[in-house]
Amino acid sequence: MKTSRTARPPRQTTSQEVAELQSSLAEATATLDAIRNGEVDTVAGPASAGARVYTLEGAAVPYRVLIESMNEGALTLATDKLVLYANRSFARMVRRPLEQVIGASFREFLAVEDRGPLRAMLKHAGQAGSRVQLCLHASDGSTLPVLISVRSLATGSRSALSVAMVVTDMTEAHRTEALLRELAHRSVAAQESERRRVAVELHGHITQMLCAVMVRSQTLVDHVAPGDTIAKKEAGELRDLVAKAAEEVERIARDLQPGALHHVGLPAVLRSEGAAFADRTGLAVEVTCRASSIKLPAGTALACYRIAQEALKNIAEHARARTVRILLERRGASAILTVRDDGVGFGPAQRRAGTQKGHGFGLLSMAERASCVGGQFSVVSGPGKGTTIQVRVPIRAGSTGLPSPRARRPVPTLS
Amino acid sequence: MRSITVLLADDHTIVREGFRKLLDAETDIEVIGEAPTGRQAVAMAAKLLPDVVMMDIAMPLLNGLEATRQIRKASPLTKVLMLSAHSDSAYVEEAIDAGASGFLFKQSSATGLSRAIRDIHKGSLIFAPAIVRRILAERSSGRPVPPKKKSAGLTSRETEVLQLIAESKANKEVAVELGIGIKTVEKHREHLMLKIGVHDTAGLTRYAIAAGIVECHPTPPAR
Repeated sequence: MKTSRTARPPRQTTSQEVAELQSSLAEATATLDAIRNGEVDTVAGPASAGARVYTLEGAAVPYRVLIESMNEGALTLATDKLVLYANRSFARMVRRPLEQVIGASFREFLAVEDRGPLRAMLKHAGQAGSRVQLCLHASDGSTLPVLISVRSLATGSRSALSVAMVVTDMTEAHRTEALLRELAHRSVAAQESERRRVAVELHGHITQMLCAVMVRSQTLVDHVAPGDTIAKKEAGELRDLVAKAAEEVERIARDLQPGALHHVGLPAVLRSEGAAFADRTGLAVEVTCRASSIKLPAGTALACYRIAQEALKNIAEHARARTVRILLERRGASAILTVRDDGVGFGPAQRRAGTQKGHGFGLLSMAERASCVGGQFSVVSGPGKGTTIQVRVPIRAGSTGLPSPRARRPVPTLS
Repeated sequence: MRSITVLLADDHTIVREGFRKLLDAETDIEVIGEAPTGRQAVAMAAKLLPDVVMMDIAMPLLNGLEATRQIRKASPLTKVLMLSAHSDSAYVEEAIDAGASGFLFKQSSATGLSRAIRDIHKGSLIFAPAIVRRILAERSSGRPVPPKKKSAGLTSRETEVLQLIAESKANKEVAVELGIGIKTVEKHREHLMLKIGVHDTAGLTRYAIAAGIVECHPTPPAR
């Protein structure tokens, strides 16, 4: 069906006028009904010079049924962001009657801070189409996180009809994501506490016992009669074997979780880790702790240690670096750990390739470790530019400089 | 000759027993007490005034580091030999800072233990070979230990003071040793930290070892 507004004839009698008004009213009622029923394919909007009429071309019935019945919101917008068409799902999302949606400006349905990005998004929509996460602003003041896919509809002469949008409610997806993250955090915490338990058991019992046996073997060596060279040699070898076993057990315990983290804190452990890494790899490692006095919560110190460990592992495997700098400093209520190398670095292309080969989890797990303790993680790299990873964590447990409720999840960034 | 008196502080009975048996064979070393906690170690050290305390680094109630700090304060003539079953050199700095004169890993402590005790008693610093390696390695990395400028513009008196500090002597001992006032020692200490660019005793000790101002005897490896 089509609706249009006609120009009024110059002179009329009163009864003519009443008849005219009645017919206008009937027409308006029919229009509203049509909008309610989703039968509108043309909208006329007021314009400075006369009326403007928009018509949806080729709006075939099957498509209409499809779009009207889908759960996603669907819209078309004119270039001036006027809503030309919206389905009932979208009207439900913004909690307004459909007739108040069609003909309104799309900006009204966005949270204030998302109105800026909209412009850029529409501009970018171009031919390729784009997706963006925004918050819808409903009539009752509530907000709804959504994913909007935008496609340009501009086809030469009909440039007034600008874009089509599909709006997906992300509430459930976000909830699921939050649950998954929570689950990941819990499994990390469970794994660490189990590691700690085993490390403490090994260190407290097996190591001590082996040390005692080693000391006793030395006593044995000392007491063997001077002439009995065979017994003396055996006892000496026994002592050495036990000492080796004790060292091995201790290495396992430390790899599980360094007890020093709990006893003498992160700076000392970073220094010894750096020294051991230099020893192993032959790289020059510089460790600077400008915050030796800060006491991080145990979980936070552990997260920082694991991130540094992962960063060093990456450097050894991929960076081909010569020097590594580890820096721990305090900035306000945060501690900042930086690991920088002068290696080959990587760009987005290498990173994608790495992810396909299953290598990308290192960065992801570092980001997750940071987010576990309310921290932020970033990595800056580029081919030939070396790599810098940085983690910023709150010094006090529970306090968080981030993320704000609306912040998107911290995704590793690349320069 | 009076024998060297030793206090064993370790929360593991089997380990204390092992050390006692090992040291019993030495005629010039006498174990005069055993403490199962850090707190008891402090109390017994104050009462028995041992020459050397063999201190486990991780103990209940009061850890070995803090116990060392308190013992060195209450009885500056008592030397502390730190023993750690943790194969992590992260503890070394803290141990030096707390006033320990040596640091050995338990796993390789038996061979040459009696010699280490005698050396520590004489005023030497004793470190496990891995630790000496690390201290020397730190010279080549960016830590504030400039080895080439051996003197770092230190006067000979300052070098003397540095050596005594690095040998874990308290300010009072240094004053007695050099026949100068305790205030003067404090002033020297401040100047040293400024010149070397460190802010604690551990830094001074590290510098002194790296610059060869004090001798640091690694214990022979256990074989």
